[in-house]
Amino acid sequence: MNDNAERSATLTPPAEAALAACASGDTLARMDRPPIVVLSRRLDRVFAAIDAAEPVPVRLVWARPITGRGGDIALLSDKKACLAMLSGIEAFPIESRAIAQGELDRRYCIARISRVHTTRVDFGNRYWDVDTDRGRRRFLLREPSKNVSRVAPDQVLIRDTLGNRYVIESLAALDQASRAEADRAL
Amino acid sequence: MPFQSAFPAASERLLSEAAPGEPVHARITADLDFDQRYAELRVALTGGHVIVMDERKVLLSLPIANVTKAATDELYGSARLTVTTTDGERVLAYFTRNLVAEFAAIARAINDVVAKRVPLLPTELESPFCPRCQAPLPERGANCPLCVPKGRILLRIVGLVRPHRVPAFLLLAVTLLGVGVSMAPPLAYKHITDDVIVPRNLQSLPFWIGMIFASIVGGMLCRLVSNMLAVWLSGRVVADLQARLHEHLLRMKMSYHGKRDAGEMVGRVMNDTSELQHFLKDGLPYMLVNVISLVTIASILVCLNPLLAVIAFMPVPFLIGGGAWFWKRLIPLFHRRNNRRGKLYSLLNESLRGLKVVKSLSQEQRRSAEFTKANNQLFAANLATDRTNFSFFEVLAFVMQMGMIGVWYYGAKGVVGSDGKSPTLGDISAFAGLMAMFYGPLQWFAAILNWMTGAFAGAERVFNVLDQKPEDYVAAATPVPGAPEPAAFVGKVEFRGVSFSYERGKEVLKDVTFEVPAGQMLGLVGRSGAGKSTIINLLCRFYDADHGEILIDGVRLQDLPLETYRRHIGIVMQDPFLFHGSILDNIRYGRPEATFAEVVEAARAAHCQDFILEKEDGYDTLVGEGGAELSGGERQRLSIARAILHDPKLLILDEATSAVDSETEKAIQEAIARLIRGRTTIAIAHRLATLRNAHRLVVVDDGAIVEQGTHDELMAKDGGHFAKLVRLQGEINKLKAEQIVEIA
Repeated sequence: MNDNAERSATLTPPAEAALAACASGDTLARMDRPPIVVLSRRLDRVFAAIDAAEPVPVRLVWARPITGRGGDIALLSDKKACLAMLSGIEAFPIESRAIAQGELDRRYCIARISRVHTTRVDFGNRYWDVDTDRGRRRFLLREPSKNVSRVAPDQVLIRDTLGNRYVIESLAALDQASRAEADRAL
Repeated sequence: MPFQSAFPAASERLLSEAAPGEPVHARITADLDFDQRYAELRVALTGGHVIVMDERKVLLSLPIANVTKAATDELYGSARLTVTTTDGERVLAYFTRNLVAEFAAIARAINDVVAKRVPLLPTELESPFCPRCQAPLPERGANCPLCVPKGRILLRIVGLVRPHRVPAFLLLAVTLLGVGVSMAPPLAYKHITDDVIVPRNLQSLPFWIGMIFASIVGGMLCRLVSNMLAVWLSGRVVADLQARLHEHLLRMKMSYHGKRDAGEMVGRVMNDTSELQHFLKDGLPYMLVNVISLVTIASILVCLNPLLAVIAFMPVPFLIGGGAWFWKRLIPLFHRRNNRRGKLYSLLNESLRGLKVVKSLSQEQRRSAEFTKANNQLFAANLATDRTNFSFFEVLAFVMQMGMIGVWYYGAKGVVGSDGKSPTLGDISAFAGLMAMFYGPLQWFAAILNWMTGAFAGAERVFNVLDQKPEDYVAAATPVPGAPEPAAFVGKVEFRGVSFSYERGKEVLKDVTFEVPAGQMLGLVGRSGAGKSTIINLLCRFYDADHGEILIDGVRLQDLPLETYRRHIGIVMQDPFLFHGSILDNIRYGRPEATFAEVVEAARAAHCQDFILEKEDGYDTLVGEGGAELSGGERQRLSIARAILHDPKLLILDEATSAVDSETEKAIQEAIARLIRGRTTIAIAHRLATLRNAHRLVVVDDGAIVEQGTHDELMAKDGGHFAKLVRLQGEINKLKAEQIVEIA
């Protein structure tokens, strides 16, 4: 079944409108009203009933995981089609918010760096040994121009060579030694 | 062997209790717990269960009988192993991106057990960590930069000079001679002072003046010759290296190039080698000259007066240590300055290249503001770097002056106190001359070491490319019993259960099976990203299948001589690449020995004769870089002419007509119709009508074949994929036509 047919089979007209907005990159503000999305879990899978339609398995993703975590959330089908887009956790009914938040927490594994033990720059490779909220970690950063995002002047998101993610929420909040180490390797 | 290493004893005990008597097919340790904290969880696949344990207890024991499918799911910054059971989907383990390849293999093994097949697990899997120091590697299987001994890199660099031994030896000899000669003037000053000025005796003066003059001329000649030799040698070595790198890159597998952009590779061939050239031309001779000078001067100073020598040496630790301390701080500032400069360049580049967009959207002010901001940031970085730089050299100069003051103070006291016997006035003047030569290089030593590190980094990246295994031309060229003679290829193609992933864990082809009899045409149909081009990539052997077999005339693709096999393939791509050169050169690119008459015949068959001759320079028209001087349709038809002249047994048409207008498409279709006659053809086309003449169609969706048959058979299938695609395309075309009418 192609995507359109799949969507038509499962969505009611308001959900179709949400879908159209989603596909065209439109925002919910331009729609008559945001879709009502009720989430449920079966074992480890989240299902969404969009505007009272039959629940379908979905993945929840931040629309802007670097610059807008906590903002717009998209619901994707197994066929990677955007089924709906909501302006944030608050746009879900109260009983669905915990499910949405839990699913997003599981999907986004970003270790918060609290201390930088050492950094070593060798042959252009930047080795980090850090404490994070998930435990201690050693990782390798290359090409900072591609793999370091300054989300705010003080906030740094790092992607290591394997695709693992780390964030320094505030460089200023790090202890002096950590800040000096981070400065050297960024 | 991966997946077979035993767990710690306690976990093994838990495992044997959870699945008593069952064979253990695979064991793996995840590096995240269910809250995605860094912790170890063990996952085992036995004959009847998938078992997940922590250190103390079994967390989950899932009977294989309940599992229908296993898969890995890449998350943001991590991944997870999931299984679909009769009750729904379950997450078995979370793990960091470090273990994606390993868990992808486990998922496949679970699916094998579910399907009652013997689970196939890779016997070798390159680790993302250095087996020696456990540091993360730049990529799986790469050399660990931390463990590569710097001495070995230096030896390899020196090894590059080996083919040019004679000039290298001459360079060394002239350098040594130059150092010896440069020591003469300060010693002559000593003798002029002690033997001429103090005793007021001019007899030996001409000799010492002559010696100074000779050493100046000799030093100048030595520097001239050594510089010329160094320039020749470094240039030659780097030219050889660039040629080797270029050839090696051409022979590297597409899987290697697929992960890197061309710009990075260009940088490696040009920038890294030029860094190496600078080091060989300037850095290495500088090091050599100064190390020899330092040792010689230090020995002379000690011989002249040991006490004054000790005073002269006192600033040395401060110069070296201080130099290292400063450079450690300066290097990040240099990096920051370079990054900001790069950003400014890229802004300027974008502004000029995207000028039309900027103007049409009235964004001049915004661009100016962005440029000013980046410009100010670069200004600040320049200021910080230069400020540190100046302070650094002022401090070092001060330390050196302290040494000088010490020598003059104790030297003068010595001369006066000992009646000028030891040290003599001449000793002091020799000291003054030699100390300037002694301190000078020391302040640069740390800089040179850093420079050397930069050059070594470039050399290491270059050696890393050269150490990569190229495509197996030689091994594959070894005749395999039963393999057809190259001339006897007929072009029967068979895919048997082929699976493939560009990145482990992300399977893009799943168990693909189809057959194309020799001389027939197969059409590949499916959405973008369905896996059609991947099938072509495997058929050209740009990549090797992970599982399954591809057979050409009944022989495994890996057993065919690669270069000869590829000579039998012709590809016409959606956006064909033309090399800078004439139309003539491009048509006969695959057969440079083709006569002009053959080229003209191919051009006629490809319907490009007319547009070629219309051009002022005819067949000699230069096509520009990448064929930029030609239109899309012209490039396309030239590539067809190139394929016709190449006369392949196996022809691949990858969206050959999608980028051209209807009229050009008609001409190209006619050219293609001539081209495919008598050849095995595999065609991908967006416009499904163009595949009407294919003997057979294969519909691919999400990496798997969902339908195959003739055009009519597939159209007759009610609710079939192909019929739906054709209908959808028809509707879109109708809609477009209506829109055109409305606009008109």
